Amino acid sequence: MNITDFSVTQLSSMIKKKELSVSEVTNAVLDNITARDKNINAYITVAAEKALQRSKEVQKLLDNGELCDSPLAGIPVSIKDNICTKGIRTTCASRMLENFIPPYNAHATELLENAGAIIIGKLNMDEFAMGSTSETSFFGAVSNPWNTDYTPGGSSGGCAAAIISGQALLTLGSDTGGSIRQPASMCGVTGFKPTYGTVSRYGLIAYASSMDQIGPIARSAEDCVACMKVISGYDPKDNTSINSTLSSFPLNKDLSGIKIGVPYEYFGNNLSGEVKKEIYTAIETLKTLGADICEFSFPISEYAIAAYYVIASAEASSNLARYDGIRYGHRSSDSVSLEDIYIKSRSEGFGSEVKNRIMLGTFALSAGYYDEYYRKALVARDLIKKSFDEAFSKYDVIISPVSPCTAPQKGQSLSDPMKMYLSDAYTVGANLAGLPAISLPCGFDGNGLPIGFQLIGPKLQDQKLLNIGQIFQKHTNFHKQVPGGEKL
Amino acid sequence: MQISKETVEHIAHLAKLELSQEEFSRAEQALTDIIGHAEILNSLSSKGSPTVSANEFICSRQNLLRLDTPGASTPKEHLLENAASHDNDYFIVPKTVD
Repeated sequence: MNITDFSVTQLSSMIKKKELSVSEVTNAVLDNITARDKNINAYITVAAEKALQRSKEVQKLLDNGELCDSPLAGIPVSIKDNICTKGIRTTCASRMLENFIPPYNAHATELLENAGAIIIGKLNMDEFAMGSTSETSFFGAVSNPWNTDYTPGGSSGGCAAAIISGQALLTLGSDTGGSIRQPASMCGVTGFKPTYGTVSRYGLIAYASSMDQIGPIARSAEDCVACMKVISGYDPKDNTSINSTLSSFPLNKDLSGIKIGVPYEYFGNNLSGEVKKEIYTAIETLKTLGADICEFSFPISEYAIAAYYVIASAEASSNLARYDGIRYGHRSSDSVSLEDIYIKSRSEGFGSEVKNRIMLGTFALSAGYYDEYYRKALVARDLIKKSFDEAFSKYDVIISPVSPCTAPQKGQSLSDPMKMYLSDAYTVGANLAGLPAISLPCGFDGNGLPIGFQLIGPKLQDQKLLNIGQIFQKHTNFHKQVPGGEKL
Repeated sequence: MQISKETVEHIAHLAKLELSQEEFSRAEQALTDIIGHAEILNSLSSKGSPTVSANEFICSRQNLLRLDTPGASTPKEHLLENAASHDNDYFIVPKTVD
């Protein structure tokens, strides 16, 4: 068995028992990147030299009896390229930040380093996390390792593609409207979006600040738990940070006593038949494991896409106003005046999708339209949150699809952006309401592309979702499937 | 709602963006499509509830304050390193006042 076939938890234990050295594990991941990434394009930057140097340092710490309690000591971790890494280029997959080297670490990066994790490199994504296919990257599209004619989903497509192709063991992604859960589903891996505020946003390059959230994409829910133990917690540098750590109630044997709500509206005509069939099979599995399944109506969901795109774009137009070509980021060489620098640097530095969203957000916030769109989107958001609260008074978690279809072919979504926006219908609700949600693999379509389902939980019930995910994965093998066969 | 060319030009001006012909058409279409879809929000007006700012909405609490305690700052030279044009102390921009 190859080193990269083991789970994070297994490798952590093997490193501590000295059955494997930190350098051996790091080299195994780096070798896979060298062999495989030219076909996948999951990485924008590979920090091989720094990773090998850090491996030696962490090995010394472990040999001296330090980091014994860390679940990630000596574990290679790869990070989406919108999360700042001190001294390692952080591009947001944009020409705007093509040469940006952060002088500081994101809080999550800092926690990983303190825990003895080895930063391997920076993962490809949709530019500024705006997209659902990882095709809008300035550094080229990411391919789905299951079939390279298809996208891996997005925006954290590099994370999901790297995990399933053995080029990463654990990754940090970000999720503003489904960007962790949707690529995880389309690549057959596990993605977890924590409760808003659980993981500090300090050093996460802002897209829509009231919804952006860092979280793990990994092979299993168990590996996500190992990551969450390290990266969650209060950070005074993020004033939306919540002082919460994962409550560690023991993993039950089954799901007895767990009530799962199934919203009718999420299983309507927009959902592909193949996806629906596999999710219903997963629901049967959950029922067999003891869960109580109840259908209910969630009509407010029809407003979610409109509310999300108005609010997210409005926040994006404000956040991205900082890119003026002066203090950092691309500066046009063709500018004679200050105004010229602003306009030309932004026009050259941003790609089309980013410009579209800045335009939409500027429109929604402009005089005459603010009340008609932005304010109404906030009303919808308020109602969506209340509807979730009401549902969670009856159910422990809600189950839904992640995406209406499996991974789209390359090029399809770019020619029809509205279709791409509508495909976020099942994921944006958790972001609008700040709730935790997990995406778990549950099958394949006729073309052999993965299908996933989503569980959404009440605020701060992150551990409950992760526990249900672990129990489901103890009784299924979907998370062990990789292109070309089964692992472990 | 059809977004007019004049509106697209006005919004691009506000956003300090210069759009190519292709980008202009794409933005015009995208704005028309998504704003058209957002019309659905109008049906909520009769059910309107009090709105709050995005942060209040998520956190449901007051602003967090912290003590104004001096601490280490990122060294100036590190901050200047990412600028396209700078000297030892300042970012350099074209002359703005004659």
